[in-house]
Amino acid sequence: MPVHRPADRVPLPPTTAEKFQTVCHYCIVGCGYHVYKWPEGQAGGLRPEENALGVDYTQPVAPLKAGWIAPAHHAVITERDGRRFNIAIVPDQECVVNKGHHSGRGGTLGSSLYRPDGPTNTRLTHPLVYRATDQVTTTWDDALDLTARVIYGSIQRDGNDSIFMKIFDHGGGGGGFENNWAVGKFFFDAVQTVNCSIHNRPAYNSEVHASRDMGVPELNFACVDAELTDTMVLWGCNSYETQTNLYLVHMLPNLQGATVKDKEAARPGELVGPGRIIVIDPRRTATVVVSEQAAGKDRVLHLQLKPGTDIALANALARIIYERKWHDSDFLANRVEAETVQPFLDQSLQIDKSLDEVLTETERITGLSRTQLEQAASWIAETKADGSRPRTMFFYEKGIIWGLKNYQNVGSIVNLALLTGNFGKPGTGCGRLGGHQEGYVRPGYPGPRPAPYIDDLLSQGQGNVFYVVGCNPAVTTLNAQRMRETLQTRGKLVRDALDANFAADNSTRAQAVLDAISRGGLFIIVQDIYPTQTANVAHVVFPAAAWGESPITSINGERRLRLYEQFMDPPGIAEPDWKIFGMLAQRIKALAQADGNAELTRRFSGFEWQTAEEVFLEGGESFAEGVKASTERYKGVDYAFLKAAGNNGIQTPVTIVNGKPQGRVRYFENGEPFYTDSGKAKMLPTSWPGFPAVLQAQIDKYPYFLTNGRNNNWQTFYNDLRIPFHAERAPMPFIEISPEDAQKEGLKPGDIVQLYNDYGEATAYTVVSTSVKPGVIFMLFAHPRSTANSLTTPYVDPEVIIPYYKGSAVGLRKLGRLEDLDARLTYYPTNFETVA
Amino acid sequence: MEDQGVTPPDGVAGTQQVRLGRRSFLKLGSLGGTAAVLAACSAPPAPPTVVPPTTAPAPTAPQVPTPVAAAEPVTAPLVSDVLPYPRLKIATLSDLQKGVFSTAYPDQFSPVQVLKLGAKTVGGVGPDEDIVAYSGLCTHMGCPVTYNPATRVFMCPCHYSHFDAATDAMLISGPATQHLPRVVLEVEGQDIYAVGVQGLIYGRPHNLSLTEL
Ligand code: SF4
Ligand code: FES
Repeated sequence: MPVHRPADRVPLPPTTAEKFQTVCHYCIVGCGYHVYKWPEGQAGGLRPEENALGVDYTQPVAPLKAGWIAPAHHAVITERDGRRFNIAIVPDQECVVNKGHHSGRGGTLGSSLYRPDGPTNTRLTHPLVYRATDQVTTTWDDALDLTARVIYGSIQRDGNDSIFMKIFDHGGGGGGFENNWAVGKFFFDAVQTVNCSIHNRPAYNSEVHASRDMGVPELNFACVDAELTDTMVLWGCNSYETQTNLYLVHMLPNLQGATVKDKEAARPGELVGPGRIIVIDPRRTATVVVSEQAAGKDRVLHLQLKPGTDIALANALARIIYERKWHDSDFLANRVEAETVQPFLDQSLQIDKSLDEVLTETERITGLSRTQLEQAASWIAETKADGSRPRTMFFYEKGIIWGLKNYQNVGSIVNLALLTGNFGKPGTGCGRLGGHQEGYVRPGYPGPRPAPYIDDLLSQGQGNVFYVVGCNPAVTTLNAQRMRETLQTRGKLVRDALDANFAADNSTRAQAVLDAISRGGLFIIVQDIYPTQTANVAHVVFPAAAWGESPITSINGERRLRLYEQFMDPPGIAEPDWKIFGMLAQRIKALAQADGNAELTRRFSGFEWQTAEEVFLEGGESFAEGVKASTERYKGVDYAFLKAAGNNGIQTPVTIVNGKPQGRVRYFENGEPFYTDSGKAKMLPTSWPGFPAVLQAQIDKYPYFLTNGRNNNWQTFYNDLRIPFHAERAPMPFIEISPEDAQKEGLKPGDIVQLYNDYGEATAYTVVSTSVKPGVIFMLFAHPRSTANSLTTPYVDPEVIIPYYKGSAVGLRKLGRLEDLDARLTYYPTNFETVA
Repeated sequence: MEDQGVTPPDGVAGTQQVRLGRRSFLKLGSLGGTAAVLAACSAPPAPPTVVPPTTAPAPTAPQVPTPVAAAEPVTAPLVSDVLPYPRLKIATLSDLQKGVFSTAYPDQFSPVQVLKLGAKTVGGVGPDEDIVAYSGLCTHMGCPVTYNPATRVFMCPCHYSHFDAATDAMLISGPATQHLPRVVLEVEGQDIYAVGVQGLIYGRPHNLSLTEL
């Protein structure tokens, strides 16, 4: 058969099965799950008292009832000692986040587990060191020793900043408070380098500096607010596909009117009804199509703006609202710094021009009509029939964060929320929807703001060591083709040195590496769970433990802190990241001691952690008190507390009241001050900047504007390419092209095309779709078989060093077909709208 | 998108009476426990009903078992065993004039859609090798899917998983984690027989767990 189908049965967990609590490690939503573990060869019975789920399998499980074990929820795993167990990972009905639902990502957690006899057996199991012509398996002692000698030697000879890194800073899989604290302590306290960057970007920075500068921590609402609001503004986020259960479990019921009673209870005396949704996206996404189907077109507004024109749109909406006096003047007077209002009126609203002038200009820039602008402004802010203000939530994600340009993009949306007073009440809020979960706790970053643009520096020959953990810059960084060239050419000089010294001891080899670095070489360390494209060019590869193989803690998009229990061994001799940094620091400390270097001995001390909880608690001690405390503040909470709190956990920031940890549902209730010195929020003047010169040059040269985004799959497909169900659905990236352009190019669905511009090229298959307008091509993001980021320019917002990933321009060339795909791959677009 | 949906009648096979003979339950029993398989013979379960997604499960009492004496886990065989699927007539060629026919297999609680795609397809049966059949229950959370013959797309009304019938009911997008289970067909004269299912039908631990014994 062309399409993979699992077995026609799964064993039920017997009542003797071990049960663990955990949270899906993929997206920001953070759905609760239970893990059942029992020996292979055993199974529970059909009667509810005969299986651990307590589900009556003598009848079909009713639709929409949690309790069915889908084949993708299940796996048979092998522990280090060879014992084999069934594992079933099923959504938790009691978790208020997902209420028993799973997405296509969380629903395949079972399939993603390490199995030496399954497709995930490509996991990294042992340390690898490049010796002569190849990476070879070696011991932790050997790999750590060489790495420690190179790092120590590099710091000694060329200073702290000679060490570069690109590492996760998030929660969930590959992150969590434990691993983040270890990374921060290693690089900020011990190495003390400024040349750091975060997994998906070329510098060490926030993706929402503007929001924070305005006094608004970005995770200020709760999932339940999406059920209680009147209007949801989804700006540059395709939540049906990428924050799935926030959309399906919280937003969709609101659109369908199922939460009206809850609204009446939470907002007594106010006129409420089924919710409305405004989706702002250059693409007609699945979120738009599904919302229209579920709520009817009259409660869905899609603003299909020209890519990169969000600031102009936000400003125009604010101008209409201000002009119509729909803004919240009490809120502005009491909660916003007065001196920031006038610059906002002058620059964002262009108050010196007439409304008509502003709207004419906005129509030209955004491609939207005046009617659409007026309707959106009305849904956001127009006073209701009973005189009450509508409650509106502003959600934004990568379309804004990675849009043009980050700082003002984010700021212009926060402006709208402040102007309309949408903070501090049920059904209000303004923040990012998120990609990963969060789990940031680190000592302070020692570098400046804006932070160094380290991709640029690396390509210019700077940096001695590049330490990459839990990310894959060969695929995901901007202008990725340049990154691959840098890694290959500079990495080759070090490989040559190691080739020439294959028989030498580590002391000699480390010296040879340092000599090669002097000639322009770069020593590359990768710590990961799979042999990524970046790991393939590394000189040392450390195998890390994944989710479920070591306990972690993280928060989701509503700051819900939970314990993700360990339920199986890591593969081979892989270790959690915190432990690897602990071992490496101890090795460097030993070198410093032997050398009589007191300062480095001191800096690399304090890494002798034995348990994950020790790291968690140590990190927790670093949180400040009071109003400046960060969103993640969890001081006062330990694993026992979290175990007892289950999958509903506690919403950070945590304060201790009468000796007991207390969380919070949302920010700014009961007059809570904004996070500025004055306690009042700041408006930000925002003007639409137009395209930067490097991008304009591509736009002038190539016929198609290129944007990108995600589908159902997770990140770089690191797990999904090993899960047959996902792998066959996304064997390579696709483009979406309009029927008009497809006809012009002679393209049929499934045709293989090459996209190219001055920065790189990528190859994909064709989906013909009305999701994009003529002149715009969409490409699936971050697929390792051919990455859209080879086509992005090196442009970053200079204020914050955040790339404009979402915009580039390309030419297109047809390459023919991969005939085998025709029988086993659907070419329908992921928004489901078939083209006749 | 205008889906001219075809919904299976109340999850049962319309006038089709699906009757399964008494089968050896040794293989089945070895999976779910003999007692469990026998238990499947008792009270006939209610047919699945479509619950609109807005009434999706409210938090209820924990589904963890009440602490009763733990039942002895039974020994399960390796999954290479073949389930003893019945060979059942589920349609005739003339039923497919509209391109789709609703029936059930391997029992009345498992709606099945038989399709005549109009173009030869891998594993297709019939004179044009274009007849295929899939489980009518969404593999996400079990709502009956609707079929649009014009686009050849199955759509789930609960969370909008879509499946492309022309490429073996592959998931187009949505929260499901399995393509629609495929019903294996044979044609004998004018009659279409179902002889097995590939993949796991929603709501059961194995495809014959509700089969009358
Ligand atoms: S919505 Fe996100 S957190 Fe929830 S199951 Fe899916 S991927 Fe996991
Ligand atoms: S039951 Fe959820 S998509 Fe079908």
